[in-house]
Amino acid sequence: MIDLFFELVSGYGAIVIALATFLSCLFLPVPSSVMMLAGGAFVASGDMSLIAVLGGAFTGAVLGDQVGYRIGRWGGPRLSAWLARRPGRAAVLARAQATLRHWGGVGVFFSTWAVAPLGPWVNVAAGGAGMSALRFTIWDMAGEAIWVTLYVGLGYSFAANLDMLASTLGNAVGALSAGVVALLLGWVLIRRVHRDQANA
Amino acid sequence: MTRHLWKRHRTLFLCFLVAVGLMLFFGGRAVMFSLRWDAEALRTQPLAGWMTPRLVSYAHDLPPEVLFPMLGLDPDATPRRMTLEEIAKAQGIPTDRFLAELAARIADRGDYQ
Repeated sequence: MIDLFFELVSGYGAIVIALATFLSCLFLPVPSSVMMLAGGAFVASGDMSLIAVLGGAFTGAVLGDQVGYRIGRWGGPRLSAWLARRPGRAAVLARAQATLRHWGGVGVFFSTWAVAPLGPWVNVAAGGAGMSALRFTIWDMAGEAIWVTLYVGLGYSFAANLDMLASTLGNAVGALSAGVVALLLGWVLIRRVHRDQANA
Repeated sequence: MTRHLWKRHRTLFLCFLVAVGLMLFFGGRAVMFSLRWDAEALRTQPLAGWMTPRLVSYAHDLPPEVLFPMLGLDPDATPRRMTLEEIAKAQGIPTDRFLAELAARIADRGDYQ
C-alpha cells in the first residue's frame, strides 16, 4: 500500500508531492507525509532536486491551508449567526472564539506539523473565529516550513529504510494527535463536571 | 464520577474514551515499530518496483558504475526517477523475477568483496 505512494512520487515528481500536501490540508486523507519521505529519499539518491521537493511540498501545504481558512472565513459568520440565536449557545460560542483569538496563532503553528491530522480543522476554525489573515498566514507558514523540512529531511537521512520509517512515524503522529484530542475533550469534561457541582 | 459522566455527558465521555483508545492503539504500534528498528535498520529494505537505480545504488552502497551494468543500463544515459519496474517492463522481464535476479547479483557481489 505504502509502495503505491512511493511509486507516485517516482512517477510524477514534485508536482504530485505538492498536490498531496495541498489535498491533505483540505481534509482529504492523502498520506502526504509518506510522499515527502519518498521525496527526501529521492533527493538523497540524486533522482530529484531538493529545491523542487521542498518548494512543491511547502507551496501545496500553504495553499491548502489558505483554502481551509477561507472556507472558515466564509462559513463562520453564517454558522455563528445560527448558533447565536439561542443565548446559551451564544455564550459558549463567544468563549470559544475568544479562546481561539487568544491562542489561535500558537494552535495554528502546532497543528501544521506536530499534530498535522488536526491541521485542516484548525484552519477552518481559525477562519471561522475571525483570526486575521496576516496572523494566520505567518503562523501557518512558520509551521509548514517545519513540517516540510522535518519529513523531507527524515526521508533524506533514512533513504535506505523508508518503509520502516513511514510506519513508525505515521503511528507516532496518530498517537500524538489522538492524545491532543483526548486532552481537549478531558478538559471540556472536567469543566462541565465543575459546573454541574456548582449548580448542584 | 464515571456514573455521573455516563449519565450527564454520555456523548462527550464516549468521544473521550475513543480518543484515549486511539492514542493507546497508535502509541502501541509506534513503540512496536520502533523496537524493530534496531534489528531492521541495520538491514537495508528489500528491493521494490518503485525504487530507482540511483536509490538502490545509494541504499546498498554500490557505485553506479557497478550497479547500472547489472541492470543493463548506462549510468550516464538513464533518466532520473526511472523505476526498476519500468526498466523490467522495457526489457520484457516480469518485475518479480527482475527484482529477484538483481537481489541475487547484489548479494553475490557482497560475497566476493
